[in-house]
Amino acid sequence: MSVQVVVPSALRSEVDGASRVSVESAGSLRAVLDEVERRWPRLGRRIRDEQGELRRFVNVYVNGEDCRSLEGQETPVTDGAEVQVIPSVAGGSDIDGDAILADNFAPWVKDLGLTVEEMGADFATLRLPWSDRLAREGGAMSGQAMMAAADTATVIAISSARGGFCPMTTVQLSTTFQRPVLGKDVLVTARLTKLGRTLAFADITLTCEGAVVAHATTVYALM
Amino acid sequence: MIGTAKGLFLARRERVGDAWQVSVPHFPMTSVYAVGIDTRGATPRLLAGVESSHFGPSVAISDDLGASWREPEQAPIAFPKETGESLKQVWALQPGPAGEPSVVWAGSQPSALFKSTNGGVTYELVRSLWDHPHRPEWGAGFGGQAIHTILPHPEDPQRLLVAMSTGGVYRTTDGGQTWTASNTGIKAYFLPGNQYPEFGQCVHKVSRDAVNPDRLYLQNHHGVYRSDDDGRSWQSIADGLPSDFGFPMVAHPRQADTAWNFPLVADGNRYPVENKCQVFKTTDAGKTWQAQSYGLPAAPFYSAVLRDALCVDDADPVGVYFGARTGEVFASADEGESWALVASHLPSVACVRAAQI
Repeated sequence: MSVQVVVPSALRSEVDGASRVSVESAGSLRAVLDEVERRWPRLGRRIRDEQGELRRFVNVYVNGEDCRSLEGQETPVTDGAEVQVIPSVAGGSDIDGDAILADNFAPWVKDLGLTVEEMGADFATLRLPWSDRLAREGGAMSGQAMMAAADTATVIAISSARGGFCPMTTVQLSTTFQRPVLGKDVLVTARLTKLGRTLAFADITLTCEGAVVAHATTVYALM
Repeated sequence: MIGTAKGLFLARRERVGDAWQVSVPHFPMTSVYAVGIDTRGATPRLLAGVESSHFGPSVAISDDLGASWREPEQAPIAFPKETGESLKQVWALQPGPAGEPSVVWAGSQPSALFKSTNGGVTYELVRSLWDHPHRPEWGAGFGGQAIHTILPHPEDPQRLLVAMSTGGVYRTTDGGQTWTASNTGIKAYFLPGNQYPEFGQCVHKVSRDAVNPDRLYLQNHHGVYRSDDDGRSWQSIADGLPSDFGFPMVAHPRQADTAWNFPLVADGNRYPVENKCQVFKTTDAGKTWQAQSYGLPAAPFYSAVLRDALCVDDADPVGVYFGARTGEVFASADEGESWALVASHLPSVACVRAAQI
């Protein structure tokens, strides 16, 4: 008896980034969520509180139907069913930034290992993980890597703002480097200062442990 | 640490006079109502009570000044099954006294006290206070029913004081076996009938004098009080203030008789007095209060400072910090004599904590 549980992007860090997990349990939704909680306690407690109640602004769909309009956690779940966990609508974006990263960039950019930390109506935050391969002479992270990350973060921010990826190209990228980065991840937040019909402008702040390490501005042409 | 309605911001500077470096939000789009800095260990530990409107409340800790955060697998703070309650929000994270380096206290909504004996990673409900016969009568203030103040005694681990809205002050002197309501002299003006009840007061914040631990300063929902007997009785110290309403109250970490607050006009008029951005300081245990506003905005200021949004660090001279609901954070490196902006345009600030590391 196996059920597919679809995990919202905000909770995927609890299941090693997976967008869906397979659970060997069925019968009722409660049994499925009990099994989710047993295997991934942190995921479980974000879906239900300590009394086992579904959190008020988490919606759970069984084969496409909101369990609250069915029998709640007593809703029958049969073998092969799909259980979708969806945060109720409250802004944000439901597009998958990591998928855009995987599908639209040159292999060497993918090799940077960028991941999307957060996306919003006009911004995206990417994590540029430390790697010794990114170190230049002297041991600090190379500026080229940070510029590529800033450039890439702009694409994700524009995609987030537009509700999906579209072809685009960099017109201008200007970067100032303010502090060296040694052995630590960098968070790259691109915030759109203007999104026009054919041009987008972004301001990118790169931070390491809360301190600004570099700052960039970009202009993009939207195709 | 700056806890806001939409995430936690970390601000740091190498030395006084440097510009503050303000981080991007940690825990974006969660409300961070309680933060703590535990400086008792070899490395400082940051504690953050975060609440996602979707995914509920939790407590995360960082031992590398926010570069990484961790949370246990099981809920760090949870009500036991048989209570039938569930945690709404963490309102207070308070490291214990120096003599108990692994103890961290947490106050919650609904009103309950939790104790951690592993440095704030996981917590257990303090049953003796939960089972107090008064509990069914504790009320809810505008912000919800919560324990927001926890004051360990610096020398005597048997003694602890908590305060809640509404309910008032409760104390234990036997390590938490029994709890006594401790509100003698504190007025509950909003009650019809007896306005000096045993409990039911809407206490906003209490702070303990650094030199004389029996001396406490209390900001009430109208009324400012001092106790000289570890909370057994309270006397008004509001006369020297322009208003007896407000939320925060913070004592100096080393100097006797010294504390700060941020008065607002009244319950029904929650603006700073005269619409001025100013902090009030006493150096004589509340007999007199002096306004401190040098460097603060001169333009009319309409924003409030919440109960945990005023704090001090442990530097010499002491740094004083406060954050406003309009997203400004101000700091003074000279005990309130002069002020400068740390950050502005943040989301509404719920709490600030600072330490010299």
